[in-house]
Amino acid sequence: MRNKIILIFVIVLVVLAAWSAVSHSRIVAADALATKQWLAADSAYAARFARMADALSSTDAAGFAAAVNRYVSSQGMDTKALAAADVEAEYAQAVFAKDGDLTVPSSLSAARLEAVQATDAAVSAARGSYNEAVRVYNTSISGFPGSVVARMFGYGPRTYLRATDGF
Amino acid sequence: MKYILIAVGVIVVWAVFAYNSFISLINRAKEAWSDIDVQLKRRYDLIPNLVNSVKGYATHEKSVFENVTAARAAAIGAQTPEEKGKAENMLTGALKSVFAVAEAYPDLKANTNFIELQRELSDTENKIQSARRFYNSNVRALNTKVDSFPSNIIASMFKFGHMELFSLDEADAAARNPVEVKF
Repeated sequence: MRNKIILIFVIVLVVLAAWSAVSHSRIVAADALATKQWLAADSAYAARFARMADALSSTDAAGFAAAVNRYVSSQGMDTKALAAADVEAEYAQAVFAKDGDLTVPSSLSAARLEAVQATDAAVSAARGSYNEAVRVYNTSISGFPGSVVARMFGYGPRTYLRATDGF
Repeated sequence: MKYILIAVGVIVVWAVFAYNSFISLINRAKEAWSDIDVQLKRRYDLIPNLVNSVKGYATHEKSVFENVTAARAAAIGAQTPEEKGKAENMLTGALKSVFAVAEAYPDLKANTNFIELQRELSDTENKIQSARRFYNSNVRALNTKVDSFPSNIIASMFKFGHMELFSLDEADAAARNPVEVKF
């Protein structure tokens, strides 16, 4: 009887160890994918901001330039995501009408503005892919036995690429 | 004894899978919410431009612009989906009055910048609706699981609660009262 109990205990341990090993592999793969998708999102934002800067090169857009600098200098994905939203807002302010002047400044080239619009889909797709990768990663470190493995190997949750704080 | 051990083993394995499925649903809902959040932010960014555009023509419609500004600020300040939903409804109503004002100014309606803003707002609203549906379907799946037996036992053990739906009155009204097609 005692031998049987020991055998069952050993089998349970082996199953748990194998399950944890598989879970660890999933976490590593999900972490790598999330990092890769972040790089793609960062690159899409960089391309978009470069085109925005190009479109605004002939006008005074100090707020936009400051927002881009904040984006470049910010550390970590969370702060970068918020900084990216600021850049978008500053760009919109610089391009669209202010105080009833409905015309886009004549110094701005329509072709360059369209070049910025052409990056909308790429940025949206990159953000969607990154958020999906974060979901897979966060799920893998929150479930069982992933949560135990994540704690052992120091994996923490990642933040979704969002526009504002809260919830 | 053997059967008891097997039964315990089955229950433990089921509990682990049920727990993991809760985690998966919660993360899906959070991902969906992040998409809504991005689209809402885009909408908030477009509104000042729209207001400034209309202001140039309709200088005496002060209360309309004040309502939109207040509704936008309330929407930005809202945190939970329920608060956001209420604030968005107010904002949509306020935006309607801006467009109603614009109707009285043919020069404004013909302005390419104004048309582009309208198009962008409409596009953003469509994206919000699509993201809202995805979020709500995930939240409904989670809430159903929280209430169903036997998964409600795991939910109460690990304190998995209901998540709030993101409701917009207009969208709900449209669903309740579909467009009539007459031949």
